[in-house]
Amino acid sequence: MMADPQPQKEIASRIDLAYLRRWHRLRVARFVATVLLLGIAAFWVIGASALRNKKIYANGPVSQGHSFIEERCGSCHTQGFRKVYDASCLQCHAAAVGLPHVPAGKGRDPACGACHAEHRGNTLLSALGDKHCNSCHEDHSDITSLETHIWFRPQPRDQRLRFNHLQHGDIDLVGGPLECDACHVVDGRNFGPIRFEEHCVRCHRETVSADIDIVVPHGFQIGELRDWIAAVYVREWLAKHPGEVEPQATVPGRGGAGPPDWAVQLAEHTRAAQAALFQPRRGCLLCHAAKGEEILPPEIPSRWLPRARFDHQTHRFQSCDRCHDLREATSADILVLPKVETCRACHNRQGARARCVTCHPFHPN
Amino acid sequence: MRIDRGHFRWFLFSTGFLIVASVAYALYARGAAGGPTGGSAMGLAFGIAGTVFMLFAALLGVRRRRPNYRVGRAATWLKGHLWLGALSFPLVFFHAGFEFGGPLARVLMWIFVLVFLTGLFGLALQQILPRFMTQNLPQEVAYEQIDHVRRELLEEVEQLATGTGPRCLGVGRAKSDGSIQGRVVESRTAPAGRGPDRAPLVRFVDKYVKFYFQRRAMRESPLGDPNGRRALFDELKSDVEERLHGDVADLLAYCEQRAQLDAQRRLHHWLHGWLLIHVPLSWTMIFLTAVHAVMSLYY
Repeated sequence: MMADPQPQKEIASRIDLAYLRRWHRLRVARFVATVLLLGIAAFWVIGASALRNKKIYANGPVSQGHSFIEERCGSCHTQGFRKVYDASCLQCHAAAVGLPHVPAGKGRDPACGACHAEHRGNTLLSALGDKHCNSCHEDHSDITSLETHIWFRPQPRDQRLRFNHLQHGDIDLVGGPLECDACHVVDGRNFGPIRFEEHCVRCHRETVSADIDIVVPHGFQIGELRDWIAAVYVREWLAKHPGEVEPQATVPGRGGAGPPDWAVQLAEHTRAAQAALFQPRRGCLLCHAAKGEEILPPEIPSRWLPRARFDHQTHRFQSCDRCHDLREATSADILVLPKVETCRACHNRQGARARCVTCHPFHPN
Repeated sequence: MRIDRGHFRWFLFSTGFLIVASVAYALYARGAAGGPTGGSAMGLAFGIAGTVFMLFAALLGVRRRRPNYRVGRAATWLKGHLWLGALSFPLVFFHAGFEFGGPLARVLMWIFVLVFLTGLFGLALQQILPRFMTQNLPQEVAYEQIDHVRRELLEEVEQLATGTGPRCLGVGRAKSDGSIQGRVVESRTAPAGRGPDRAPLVRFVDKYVKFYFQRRAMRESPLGDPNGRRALFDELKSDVEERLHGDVADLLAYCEQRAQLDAQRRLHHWLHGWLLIHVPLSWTMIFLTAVHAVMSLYY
């Protein structure tokens, strides 16, 4: 057979010119699948809206503490297309937030959500990483964690009190060495204040004199105590020598005959008692500092590291000397605060928490 | 679309963009106290960029339905679809901070993963199958034309068998023109005058070929197997007069063309079947992305 010289028309008849306008099966299937999937998606969204299920839009579950309001978006999201205002948080957390973190005149506290990011799963909102702190405290950029925390820096302060920790724990101490909790009693997170009447008087019981077994009251100034001692002596003398004290007769124009013997004796006893109480390193001045006739009130801070928080209650299972080394504490000026290395022994990546806020709470309350 | 040198500028742009975005994300993630989030300024920027690229990729479908619009070459749109669509994938993950989020966001992310994977699969097929088809299916026709051509071929086969047609078409000689190679379709005129006995040929067509040319009978027919086909045609050749051997050869060529059409259909299903997943998921993703954007900004 010979090739036909004009086969083009017949060959062209093989081509269906309308095929572009017709939807072939794959295209139809694609369209149907698209409509079907879009329908399912729309049904899901509309159905959730009809059922008032807004959880599908959330970026994740709310935190543990907010799980009870997970269904009530409006509790926090008070206005559409607006961020969650702090006022929403403060409705419940005003007491916990308390004082502002940023000092007055240095700006404003960041918004609650800047640190406490919600919808991150079933987590604790308060468990924050150190990044939050370091994002603002750039001056502490060299201290990014406890590992790089180089020192604890208590504010130096004259406590106006003489106290020898080492001596009080000495085995030769009269009555035996004192345990720490003899004076340091945990009250809440920290220790309660040490009071003379509760913690010191048992050993440091100052009486007026050997003869007069009356305890000298605590908390008075020197002048007040002199008067008190004089009054005590007069009262005691009168009680012991009734009738000896008589008014001295005076002759007009000739003057007195001088103090009677009993008065002179009383004055001498009084002065001796006062001198014994106020002599250096004895009596009141054994512990207290004085300036002239004034006993300076002690100034012992309730917290030596005011910018940090330490919970003695949670550390009660540790012995005191694990952190506080008393071996050189011969003076009240020598603080027996633990060093940062001591903390690191337990607070590290493998052990207890060691975040900034573990010791430095953001919210002062 | 094959990835060739024509993609180099797109590759450079996408790689550069990805590097810049990755560095920006690393710095942002490192400095973000609470970790990267979609709601932060950087997170939103990544989300917007990813969505824009995603929308551009989706517009390819619209562009294809409007081939006459002068809005850039179709090839450019397809390259943009490939590269910007791929670029949107990491950007969306940067936006989400590599978290899958809540129910809607999670569904969106999984859909996006599927869209991306099906796209990659399709792209890989595009690198292999078209070349394979060119080499092995010289009589390739447009996919949409297969059924039409099959019917036309059957008509021609019947004409060939009975010898009534003015001419019949067949696969002709190999031809090349420059770098283009292939086989031409030829039209052959039936011999004039009293012809040989065509009854065996007609019986053969009625018994095997017509069934073979039906749409779904390819595998059931003995002609579907190449060895069986040759055996049957050898048998037919011995049954007909020598003058009809040429027609038998043409008939065999028709059957082989039919086999090629079926092979082409199968390969085409591979080549475009992934779009059955890719396209519906893409539009669903666009829809849910819009819902996600509005509701995320609302809350």
